[in-house]
Amino acid sequence: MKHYQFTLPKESEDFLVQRTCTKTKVIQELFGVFSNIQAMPIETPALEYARLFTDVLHGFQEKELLLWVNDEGETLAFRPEYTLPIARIVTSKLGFEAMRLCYSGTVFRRQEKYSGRSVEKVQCGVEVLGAVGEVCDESFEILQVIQTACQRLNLSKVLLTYSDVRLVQRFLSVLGCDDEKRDGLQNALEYKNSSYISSFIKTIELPLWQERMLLYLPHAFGGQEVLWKLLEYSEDAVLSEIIHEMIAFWKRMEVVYKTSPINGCVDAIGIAKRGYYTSTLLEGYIENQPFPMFQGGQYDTLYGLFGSTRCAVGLTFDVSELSVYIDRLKGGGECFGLD
Amino acid sequence: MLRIGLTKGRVEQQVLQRLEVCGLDVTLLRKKTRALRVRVDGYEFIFAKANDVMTFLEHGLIDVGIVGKDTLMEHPCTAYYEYCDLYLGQCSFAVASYPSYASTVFQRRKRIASKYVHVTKNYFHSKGEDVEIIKLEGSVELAPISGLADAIVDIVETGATLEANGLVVIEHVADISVRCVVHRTSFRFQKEEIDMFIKYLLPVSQRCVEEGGSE
Repeated sequence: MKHYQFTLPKESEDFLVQRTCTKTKVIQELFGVFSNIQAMPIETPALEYARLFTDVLHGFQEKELLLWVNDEGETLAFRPEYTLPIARIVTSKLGFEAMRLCYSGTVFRRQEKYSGRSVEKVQCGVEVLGAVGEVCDESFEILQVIQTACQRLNLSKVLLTYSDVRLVQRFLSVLGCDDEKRDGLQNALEYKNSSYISSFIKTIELPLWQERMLLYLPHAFGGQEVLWKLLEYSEDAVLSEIIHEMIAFWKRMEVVYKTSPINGCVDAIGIAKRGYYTSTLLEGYIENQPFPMFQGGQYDTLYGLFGSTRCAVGLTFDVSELSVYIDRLKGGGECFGLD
Repeated sequence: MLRIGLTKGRVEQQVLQRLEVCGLDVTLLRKKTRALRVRVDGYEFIFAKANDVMTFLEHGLIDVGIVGKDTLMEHPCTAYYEYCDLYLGQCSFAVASYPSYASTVFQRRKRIASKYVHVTKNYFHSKGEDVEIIKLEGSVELAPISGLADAIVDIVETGATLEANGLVVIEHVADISVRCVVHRTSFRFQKEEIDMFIKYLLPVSQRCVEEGGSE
């Protein structure tokens, strides 16, 4: 007998009966939630041109993708996510109307975490798209989708982190420092590295409000009071306007989640891994689970890159992590992990 | 209960000393003999090698990790916040070799030996310099001495080991010290507990600024 008759490469994983049942049930429940907002299912191919994922603003790096060269010499990538393939399909084939689309399937990414194990992940998500050229705001709908999904999946004690990518972007743009220093600061903010920031402040002369805000940002996490404090520090009109919009969004969250087990919190440092996010970022965490169970946000300029500007909000659930969590809660044994 | 991963050895001793100064009873931690998990005053301490602290953190099995910046720079895990510098064990990464290295014009690809392959690769990439990296597990000073490599990238504290082998620091790569890192999920659920613990760890002079208290 050869080893490949018994074992798998480190990148792969079997889903046995229990996990497969739970995964299927999670997807069914989520599709039920998405159908409440009339989302229509869509499938995208597993293989696309790699440039679809790499050429978009701050998109994927080649080292993150599983690549393959076809017989025409074109470099293809196994899809690492759904947002970009759906943007391609919508702009090339589905017209100009507002629409809601949902999907589920496997995504493939080379990961640095877990020493490169498990390149496959099952995602299930929804894209809420405005009509071409229309100004709209679908974030309210997404907040309701999150609430219903958490109820249907029996997820309690969910912490929903809310950020806005514009806040840090604007703040860094008004700081009087060169690109290299700005990149260093962005990295320090992403890692909430207050030691770096306090050392940085000693090397540069900043207006007092910028210094105070910079020192506060790594700790700016909590309720609405975080936003009021940032507003108190801000002496830049554009930045203040962004914070006002965040306060309005927060109030909307409070209304939606008034009677829900979801707790909301603000993380002032919203730095998206993908550059196409334009404002709201949402991440759902469950205690003691190492990674977010769902994440999403607003990307109003992405479709413009494909030739037809429209506003868009997406939300994706990590079905693989959710299935592990639900199975663990149930202690295994039952086929259908959800009630 | 806050779960803390502490790097065994010198870091452990320095951190325990600081916790003791700040009033935490560390008797059990000092007398742990071979126990690898000890509970004290509402904290659970896990003692492990630096890389393993990062692995436990990545899997969400500890909330706070105390490790050297060298480990953070070398380990692929990114699911953490580098919350603060504890200003302990301060030293640096440096390129070291014989003094003649700096003036030598190499007519071939330079060979650099190091235990820290990622740090070395990132440093020379940032300089746009193509080098061959040779991984060694320890006593890297042997590499230039034996002719295995032209230079090394290693941690330099006093420079005594380099000097004893006729080597000098050629270039400074990065500053290193002990850092307190926090898991991203734990930060969201236990921020207050984490901030309380960090108050024990930070030197008094740094507490105000690093807690965002600029007023």
